[in-house]
Amino acid sequence: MEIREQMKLFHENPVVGWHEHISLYRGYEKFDMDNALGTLKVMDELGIDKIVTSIPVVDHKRGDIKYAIAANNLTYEATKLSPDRIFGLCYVHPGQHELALREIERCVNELGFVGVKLYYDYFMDDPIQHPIIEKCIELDIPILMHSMKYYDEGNKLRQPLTSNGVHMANAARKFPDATFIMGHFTICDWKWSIKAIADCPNVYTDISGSNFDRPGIEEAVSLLGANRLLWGTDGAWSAGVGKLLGAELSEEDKKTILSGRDFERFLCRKKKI
Amino acid sequence: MFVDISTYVGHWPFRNLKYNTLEGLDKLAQEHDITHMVVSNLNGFFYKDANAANLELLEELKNYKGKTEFIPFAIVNPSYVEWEKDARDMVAAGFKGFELAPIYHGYSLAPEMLFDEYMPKHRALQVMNLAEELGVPVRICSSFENFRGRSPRDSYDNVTGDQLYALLSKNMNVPVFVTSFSPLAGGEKFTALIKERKNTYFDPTSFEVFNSKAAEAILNVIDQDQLCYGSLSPFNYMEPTLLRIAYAPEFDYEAIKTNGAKAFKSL
Repeated sequence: MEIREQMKLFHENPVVGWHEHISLYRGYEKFDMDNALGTLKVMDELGIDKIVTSIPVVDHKRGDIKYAIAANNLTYEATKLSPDRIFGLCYVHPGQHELALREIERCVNELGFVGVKLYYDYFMDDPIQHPIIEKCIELDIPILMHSMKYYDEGNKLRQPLTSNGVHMANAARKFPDATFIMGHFTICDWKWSIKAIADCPNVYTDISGSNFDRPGIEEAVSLLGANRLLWGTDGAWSAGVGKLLGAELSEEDKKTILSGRDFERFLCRKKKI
Repeated sequence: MFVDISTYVGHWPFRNLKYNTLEGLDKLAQEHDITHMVVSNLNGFFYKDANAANLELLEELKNYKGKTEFIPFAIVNPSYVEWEKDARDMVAAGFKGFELAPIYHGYSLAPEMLFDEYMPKHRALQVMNLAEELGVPVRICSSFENFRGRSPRDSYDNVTGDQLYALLSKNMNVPVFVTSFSPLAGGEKFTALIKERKNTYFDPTSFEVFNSKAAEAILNVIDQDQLCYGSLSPFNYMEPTLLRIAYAPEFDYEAIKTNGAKAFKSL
């Protein structure tokens, strides 16, 4: 089948990207309008209805709350561009303690964000995360954690505290009322990641990321069920779209992943503000 | 005609593969109207005697009854005894090209100092020169899995632009398929080389085209004729690479589908 024919799946069904970034690479002071408009153009081209975006603070500034606030304000700029299509996640550093909790409240209650984005500042099961998890349970919002099971020395040095499925499962068992998203399971050792969370129904995962190893999506659906997979790209648009098109799943399973059915209620909340 | 220049049969020791037979690849090809696939046997990356894997592929080809036309490439290990005789025999037996696996066979694409003989050797160049003599192209795959997720028992090296430059600049005549490697990732010397060396071909496995200027940048480095379709099957899903050639307005989709064949016709 021609690839454009296959793309009807995206154009004819609701599609939500749960792991996206707008204005990620231009510091925390200036909104990258070119990137934002480019993202909207790609969404139209590929039939993507909604995206959920965040800006994690990834450099030496990440311990300072003012940069988290600045990053979240840029995400808010993105959501204002197309309020029905672009939704925000609030980035915080767990070491910011009470300030982080206040920032989550600000983002959710004042800016209409729909969840929290955590980065490789600490493992997901580190006790320093507990207040944040409890706050997310209280606000009934999901936590998207940057995750991967890597083996290479470079990542061990650059991001030693990156969570993998084991950290996600530990946190999920301790907080069964919390909702976790293990980010981009398809990169690195994807089988490790999905096996680790298989028995934790409150850990979801997204299929974003630049790798498109066959048959990662089928194996994840087999272990987790399609309802625990969310669609997304993390900026790797062709990989995110293509790997779902290529997966040997039922049409129904693909639609379930694309729509993020279990997560619709988080997006609905924004309308109430 | 629709040619996929990057497919494999056989096993990968670090991960189970699906569709890693000629019948399996044929099924994938049929789904996307691919008519031809350039194929090698992955087992040859790991056998001490790579030629045993070529013989396995020959046997598999004899029994194959599918629709897709396979273009077999023999894996050649120039650091193994009698490699040149094996390579000549394989071309005589019907192989249409050579595949180099420097990372897994433990040699460099650049000249090497071999201490047992106290003089530099350039083993990869010897294969290129044989390919020129026999009139067959060469394929070099930069990497099969993203380095972050490779097994701790796998190599973390990739074929680099510097290594490719060291080899390709010494033999400008042999058509070379450089797969799983972005033309933008090779460094200045390599970029300058491939602007001149029009018989160097690439596939779309390693760059993004959406909300990206990569397609335009790539066509500043190589001609449209040098971009072929390649999926790295069965490691990858095919659709991401199909999307890249079909949706980037800078690319000529129909031409890219057949460019793999042009490489053979240029011989």
